[in-house]
Amino acid sequence: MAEINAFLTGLYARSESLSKATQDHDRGRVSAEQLTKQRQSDQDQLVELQKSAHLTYLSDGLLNWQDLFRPFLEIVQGLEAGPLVRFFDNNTFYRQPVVAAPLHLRRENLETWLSQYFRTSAHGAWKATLPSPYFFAQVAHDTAYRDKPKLIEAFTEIVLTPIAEQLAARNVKFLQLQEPWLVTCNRVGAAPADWRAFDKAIGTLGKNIKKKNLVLGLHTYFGDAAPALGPLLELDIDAVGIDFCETDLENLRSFDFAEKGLICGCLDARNSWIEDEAIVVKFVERVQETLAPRVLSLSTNADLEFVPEPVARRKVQLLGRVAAQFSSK
Amino acid sequence: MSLFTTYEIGSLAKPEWRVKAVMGRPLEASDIESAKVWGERFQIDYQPLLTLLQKKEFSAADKEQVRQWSSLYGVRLLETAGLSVVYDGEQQRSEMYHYPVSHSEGFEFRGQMRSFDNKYYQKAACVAEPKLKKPYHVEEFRTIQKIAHKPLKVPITGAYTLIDWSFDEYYAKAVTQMGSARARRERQAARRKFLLDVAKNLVRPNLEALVQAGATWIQIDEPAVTTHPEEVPLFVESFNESTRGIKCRFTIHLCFSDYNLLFPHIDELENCWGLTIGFANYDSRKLGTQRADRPGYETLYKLAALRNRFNIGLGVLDIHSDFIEPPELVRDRIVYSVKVLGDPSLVCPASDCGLRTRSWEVAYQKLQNLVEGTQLAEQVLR
Repeated sequence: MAEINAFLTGLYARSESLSKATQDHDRGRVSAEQLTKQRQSDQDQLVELQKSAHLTYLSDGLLNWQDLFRPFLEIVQGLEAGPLVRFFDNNTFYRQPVVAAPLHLRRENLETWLSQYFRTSAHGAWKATLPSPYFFAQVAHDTAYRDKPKLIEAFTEIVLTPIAEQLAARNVKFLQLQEPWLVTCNRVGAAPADWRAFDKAIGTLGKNIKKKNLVLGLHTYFGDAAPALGPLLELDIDAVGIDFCETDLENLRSFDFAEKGLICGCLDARNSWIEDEAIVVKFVERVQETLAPRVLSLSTNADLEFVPEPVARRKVQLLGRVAAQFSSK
Repeated sequence: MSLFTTYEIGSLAKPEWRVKAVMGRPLEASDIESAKVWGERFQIDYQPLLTLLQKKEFSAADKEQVRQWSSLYGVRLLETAGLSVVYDGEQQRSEMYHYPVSHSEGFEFRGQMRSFDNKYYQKAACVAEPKLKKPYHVEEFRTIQKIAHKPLKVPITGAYTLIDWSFDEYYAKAVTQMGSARARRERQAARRKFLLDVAKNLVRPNLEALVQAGATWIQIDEPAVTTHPEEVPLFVESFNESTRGIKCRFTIHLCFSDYNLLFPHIDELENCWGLTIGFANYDSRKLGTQRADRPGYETLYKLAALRNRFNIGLGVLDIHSDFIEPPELVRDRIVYSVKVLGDPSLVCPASDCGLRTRSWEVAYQKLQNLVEGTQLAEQVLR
């Protein structure tokens, strides 16, 4: 029987109070301190929710991230915010990152930046989320390197690796790279040069963080993982994430998960319908039987920012109950 | 007689005096001054409004009156800017999704969702088969009919956008599995049923009621159409279901999408007179009527090749920016587009989308320049 984990994925939903505080702050009605206080309150409640659901790793919910790339504009010289772009097939938009100059990490501000965007503590095991360098290179408007493999390499070496090392020092035990592009926009396969660069970059990142006892996962979502799974399993990562709202389990039978963890996206983060617990449990049993991963981590298929917070809370509670049924076996 | 019909897409910003009065918040002197200044510009007898706005508290009846005044201002803004066809800038409505959903049965709001940055909207779940409480735009239409001096174009949110922007807790119950081809088929079937029920039960009765009340041009707003490329044929099916047999000029508004995804499926649209498409957002601000000058209008070539010769509501104003398009730029965008489409009667110059995110000052100037630019284009083309 695989080791069973459960945790959140990506950005969590903001409560109505926090949403209002952000709008009031934009309009000058509340101070930055008041906004921070509301955010901390949301995070405290989210941490309590995860603890009561007995989730394996704690996440701060990325509640002050406007999108997966925005925080990096403050710490990476050479990155700027571009136009609003729809985030895949959602009614949500992100600002396209623009690589206007060679990337340079502002290390002098790193401590402050990490405190602002990655809340952890000495207690519990924490999880952090970063964008996958492959995904970043595909969506960025790059006027500096003008070469995706070079950009993948630069973003990993200059940005992700130092940040990951610092996160390990802050009690982060699991680092999840978000990678929707590979399974949505890559239906004919990744460009070979891009893939080679990604493979190499992940290898470098993985080697550095393994020294710090940090588990590295790459989560794919919004698309069918089957066509990309072969190469994904060969990457030097500890876990691969799959969106089972988009992927047929039967199509994964021939893949070997013996040496890999599986992040099982088994709840739909984009619909408010709360899944039937018995159906989810039955499905997870089938996943175990079919794939027999070394470690099975249960999560939602994507970020819970795609549902209102009260719904997100119920999904987390369901996740906890499903995981508990396997932990007790 | 003018070669072109000009119009705005739908929404205008709501004036502060309307927002504060309806929300029961105190008005400032600047709000009342704004009502006066714009009233003068639009040649409205605004004194009764100023008297109303001086009240310390607003009753439900007072708030309704303020909304009606806001409609009048919206209509006059568009009319005095010189547009051929108008409405009221959707002053009576809360928002293009919230308004129809809150006036329908079978939906419950689930809470706030983030669109981008710190912009949020309320999202509902379908919890029962959608049904109409009563047609939700007829009273508004009748009010505007009485005050408008120009022909009207009524905007209404289409079925595809309504379901795509909603959660599904009703039809999704039919999905009994996870992580399988069968589960995906069940989900697709559930989604199609949801869509066609909304088309038949919500949108179609609204269209019929509006036509019965005298509407001759209805614009169906479908910003979500290309969100799921594989569902464009489904959108076409829902439009045809919504409008079949109804005698009216129907146009579809599309914006900020990959328009390539519409082809070839949109050639199967029936009973569709035109497509209103946002182009200016993607275009250069340089003058010129050559292809290299007008990168935002590439889709026109595909539109020109369709079997259906749709009228094109040509977006010539960028609604995401306070940049005031010079009339000459508008002229060149129109002249170029007529060159591509081959027939000026196929072009109606318009804004890319609603001007809700722009101040009235900016919106008014943009629309005035739209009209002036159209006149310049006519001089070139005649």
